[in-house]
Amino acid sequence: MKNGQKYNVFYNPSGFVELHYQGEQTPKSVIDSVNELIDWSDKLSAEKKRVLILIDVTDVSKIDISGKMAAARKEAVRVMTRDKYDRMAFYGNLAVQILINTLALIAGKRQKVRVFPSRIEALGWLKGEA
Amino acid sequence: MEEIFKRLPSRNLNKGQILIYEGDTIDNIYLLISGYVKVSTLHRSGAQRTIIIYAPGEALPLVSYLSGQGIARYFYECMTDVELKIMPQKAFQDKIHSNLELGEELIAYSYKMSNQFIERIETLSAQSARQKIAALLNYLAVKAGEKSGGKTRLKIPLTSQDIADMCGLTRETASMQLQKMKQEGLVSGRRNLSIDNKKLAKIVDS
Repeated sequence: MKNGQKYNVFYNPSGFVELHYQGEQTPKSVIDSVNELIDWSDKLSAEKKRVLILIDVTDVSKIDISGKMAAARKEAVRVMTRDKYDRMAFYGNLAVQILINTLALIAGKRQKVRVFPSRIEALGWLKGEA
Repeated sequence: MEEIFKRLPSRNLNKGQILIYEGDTIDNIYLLISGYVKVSTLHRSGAQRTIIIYAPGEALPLVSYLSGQGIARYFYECMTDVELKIMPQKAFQDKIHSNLELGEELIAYSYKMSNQFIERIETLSAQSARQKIAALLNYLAVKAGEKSGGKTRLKIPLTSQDIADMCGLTRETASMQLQKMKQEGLVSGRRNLSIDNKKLAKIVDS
């Protein structure tokens, strides 16, 4: 990740899109990262590939639950609500787990969106049997 | 929070009944109407360690439900007779679905509760026996206390064993420390302890 960059999205040859967040996020960084995820999922869907998304939230220094980040949470719900993905796995601390699970409930996608304490558990579910 | 439990039937449980066992699937979300529920875990030695207490108006086991995979991480036991409202988790999911405003409220509430967990765990892992008990009394005064003329009376009856379980101490140590605190005038009473707020604040802040 380049200096000052708050996130990075790339395709892992193991068969999924990876998004890594770094440091404190802003509404803009979350919205931009969500848009990149949407581009990736559209591209993979068009290629008739399985769309799996892995999101690393372990390096986010502070989870801001104030109104300042409400737009970012809304955007996260928007990407979860879309149907153009098969599974989305997050990994991060307890605060992240509460946040993501609540957003997944709002999106009505608790079966397709899961959050785990570690990368290996997230991968195990992400790449597991459908 | 109380709004979404409106019109649901309530249920009464007796003191000592276990509402949820560690490892249970979380089938229901409960809103506590009256009474107190303690959340505990078992130490490797088999000793019980109480982490936090739920008071009237609070919902449980929301933090376990939202942070895990729908499995309870702790035991939830009635400390007193309890009245609660019950919502099946499927109905709870339906309430939240598409309701960003309620979701925001849940996030804020769950963060508050998880911070209580963290603070209590920090208290359990550090400090002397005396400070552990003082920190516990301070926590209970906020959670289940009735203030009157410089003192706070706890609405939950406590034994030395309860205090030991909540502080990670042996019953003997808890009992000895409590006796000292009574001699100093910091606490008084038998089961429903009365706390001198100024004296407690001195220990907590030291």
